[in-house]
Amino acid sequence: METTVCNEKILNFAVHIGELMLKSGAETYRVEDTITRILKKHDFRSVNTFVVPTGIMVTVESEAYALSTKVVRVKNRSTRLERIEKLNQLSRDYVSGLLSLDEGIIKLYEINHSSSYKPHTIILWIGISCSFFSIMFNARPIEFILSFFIGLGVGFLQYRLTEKQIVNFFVLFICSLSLGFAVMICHTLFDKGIHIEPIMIGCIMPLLPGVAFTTAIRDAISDELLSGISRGVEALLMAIALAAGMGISLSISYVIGGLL
Amino acid sequence: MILSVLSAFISTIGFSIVFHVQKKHLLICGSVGALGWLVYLLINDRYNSSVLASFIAALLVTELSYILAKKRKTPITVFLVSGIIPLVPGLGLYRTMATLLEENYAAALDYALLTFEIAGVIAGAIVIISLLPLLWRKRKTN
Repeated sequence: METTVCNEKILNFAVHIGELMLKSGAETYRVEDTITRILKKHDFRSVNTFVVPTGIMVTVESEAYALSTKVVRVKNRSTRLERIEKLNQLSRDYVSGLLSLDEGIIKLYEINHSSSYKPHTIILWIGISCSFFSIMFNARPIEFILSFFIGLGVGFLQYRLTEKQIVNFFVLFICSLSLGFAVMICHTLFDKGIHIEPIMIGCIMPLLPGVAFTTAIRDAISDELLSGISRGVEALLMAIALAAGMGISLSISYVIGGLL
Repeated sequence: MILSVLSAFISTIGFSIVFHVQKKHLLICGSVGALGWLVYLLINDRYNSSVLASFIAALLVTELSYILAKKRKTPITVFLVSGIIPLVPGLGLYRTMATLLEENYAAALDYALLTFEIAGVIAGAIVIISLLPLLWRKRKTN
């Protein structure tokens, strides 16, 4: 009986690490690798891990043929690279024997409740990167300033909508829709004296599915076909949602004001 | 052009903060992004082909992030994502939409194809750099 309790504790620890990694936006193969390595450290007869972007399934078989299984459904994924890094370090320390199981569980709790950048810092930096992106596409000073403020607005909107746990695609759609309207209003206010292209591109950049795209490729080439395909489709859908939002707001501006 | 590369540096740092990269990696992430963009600009100027420029820049960024990830013992995603971000074809996506709305379908198809080409070429670059070390390893063990 003693061994089963211990097995389940180890299993719980490994799957919690995996769950947190997946929630932070890690690639599927990395999650599988981490869980398998942690479990392989103990003498299990067999360890089987199956990870998809929305769930984790792990079964271990102990020496006494006692099976333990844990299934976790993962929701609310976001991108937190610093957590992936810390969890990677934690699993490496655990496998090499630097940390005991109890220390590992405490460390895991600490990582789960750590915070890095504050929301307003992030929103401010979204604005800054939007404005500098517009410079990369030949913006003049007036467009630089405008895209800073529009970027701030888009960042704030995205933060607020994500907080309400709405589906990501819809958040992107609303963001790009309001981005289009904001650019249109600026265009009218400045009496057609600005180019809308740098502002649009600069502000759409933070919304583009760069992370989903790279993760999809990295999953696909490490033989995780299921996750590779689903993440690739995710990236494509995000791009379509953005394009649809931009298209609707721009076409309304064509009809009403005859802009451009 | 210096202004453009400098702004790539700053906006890449901004992105890394949005993705919660730790403070000690921020400057390096920015440099990777700026270097990728510099290569993109140089090749685009010389050969006037944004597809080729994206390919070479993505190759460089991926190789660089592999080296950095090994050196600093960090998941490669940290550098790869922030380096790739300036190369993502936002321009193509926007121009496709804009030309579609002007009912200029020939140009819209052009830009749509260009967008897909650039996305595919970046993917190809990541695949090539990721899988080449495997070839090397096999040759060594045999």
